[in-house]
Amino acid sequence: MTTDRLSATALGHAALKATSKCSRTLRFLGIFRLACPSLATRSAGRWFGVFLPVCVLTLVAGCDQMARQPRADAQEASRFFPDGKVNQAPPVGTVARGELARDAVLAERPPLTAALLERGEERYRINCVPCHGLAGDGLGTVVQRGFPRPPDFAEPRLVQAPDRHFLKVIEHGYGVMYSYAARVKPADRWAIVAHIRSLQLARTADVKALPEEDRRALEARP
Amino acid sequence: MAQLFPRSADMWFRVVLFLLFGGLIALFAACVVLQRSDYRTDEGWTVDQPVPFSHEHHAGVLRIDCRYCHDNVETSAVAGLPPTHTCMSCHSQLWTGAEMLAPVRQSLAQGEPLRWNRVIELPDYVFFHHGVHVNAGVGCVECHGQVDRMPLMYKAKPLTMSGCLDCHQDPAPRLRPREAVTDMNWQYEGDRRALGEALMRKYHVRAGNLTHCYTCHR
Repeated sequence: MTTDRLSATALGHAALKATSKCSRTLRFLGIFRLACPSLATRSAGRWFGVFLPVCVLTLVAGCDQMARQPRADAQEASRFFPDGKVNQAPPVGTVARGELARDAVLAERPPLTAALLERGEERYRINCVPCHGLAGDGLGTVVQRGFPRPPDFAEPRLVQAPDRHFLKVIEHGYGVMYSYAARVKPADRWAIVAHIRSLQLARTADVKALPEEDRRALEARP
Repeated sequence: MAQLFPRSADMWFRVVLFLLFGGLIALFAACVVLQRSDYRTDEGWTVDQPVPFSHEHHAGVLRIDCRYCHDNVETSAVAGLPPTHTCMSCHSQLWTGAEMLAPVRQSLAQGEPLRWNRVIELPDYVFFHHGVHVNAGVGCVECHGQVDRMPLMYKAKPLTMSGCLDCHQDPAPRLRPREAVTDMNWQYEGDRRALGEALMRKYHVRAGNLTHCYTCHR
């Protein structure tokens, strides 16, 4: 059904292109006659001799496809590269500009700031929540649909695990979890680790450890 | 001498003249109407895809953030279609035998990208940058509509130049905090314009520059 619609659309486009070219020519004719009335009235032969080439040129100019230029756009197909893709993988053994600096971030843990935690929560919500859940208990929406449940971040094993463990899992994956190296930048991995730590704290801390005001607010919740 | 023209000649002359001019005007009107119709703008028409991917299911029901798959949208001109690897993050475990997903598995196994068909294609003389808009607080929904309610993807708005200009001339009431950009159901109780003006200052959106030709055309 949609294919029919598509071909109908293509036909429609072709017809519209033809009409738009016609109207262009008509408009041009009008301007032309206004500009040189004498030429238009003197003799039909001469009129056509001048006008016809101009008319043809106008039509040819209309063929210029400014909206679809012969250029390589991201993620489109390419007739130039042998694998047919515009986006090419970097040649083997090369290092992209800035890549070393990006990866160098992984060596040392950044200082824990509110901004880092905020960034971590945002990135966690984007990349981790579908499986690990908002609370980090491993009950995300995708897990509820049958994906194997990941471990709860509040497990003692994971509370005691070093930061490097989480960094490694994000980078290389773990069990059925795929690598997120291409999706989560090195700096963001630290932010996510910081958020995982805050989730662990939130789920294992004693209620009495909270400031009086926060505790009352928490207990007031249903 | 007998009359050269019958009595009705005058009437016919007028009718022909009327039809000629009327027809030209009607033709022009028809062209204008057709040009603005969804037939020409593709608004509301679904596009055949190798896999009938449902944004309604993934973004709506499962509440997966747009940026899980479109991970370039904050930093790049294009939102980016995900590599097959991203699809298989879940589908290596879920719906592993589904006929519908056979092209996805084949794509991963053979290292051949899935050939999705474009739903929205701007003319090549328009230089749209997703990152700039997302970071200025333009919600996905402003242009793409309620994607979380689209079982099959379609263009929700005509996305003609006048649509771009509506916002570029007066961005304030259409902006939202960056945190809410991918939220399809974000509502704001207060004064949208006041919020937008505050956000414009915060995100350094300079209204005067937005309608310059070179903002979009280079």
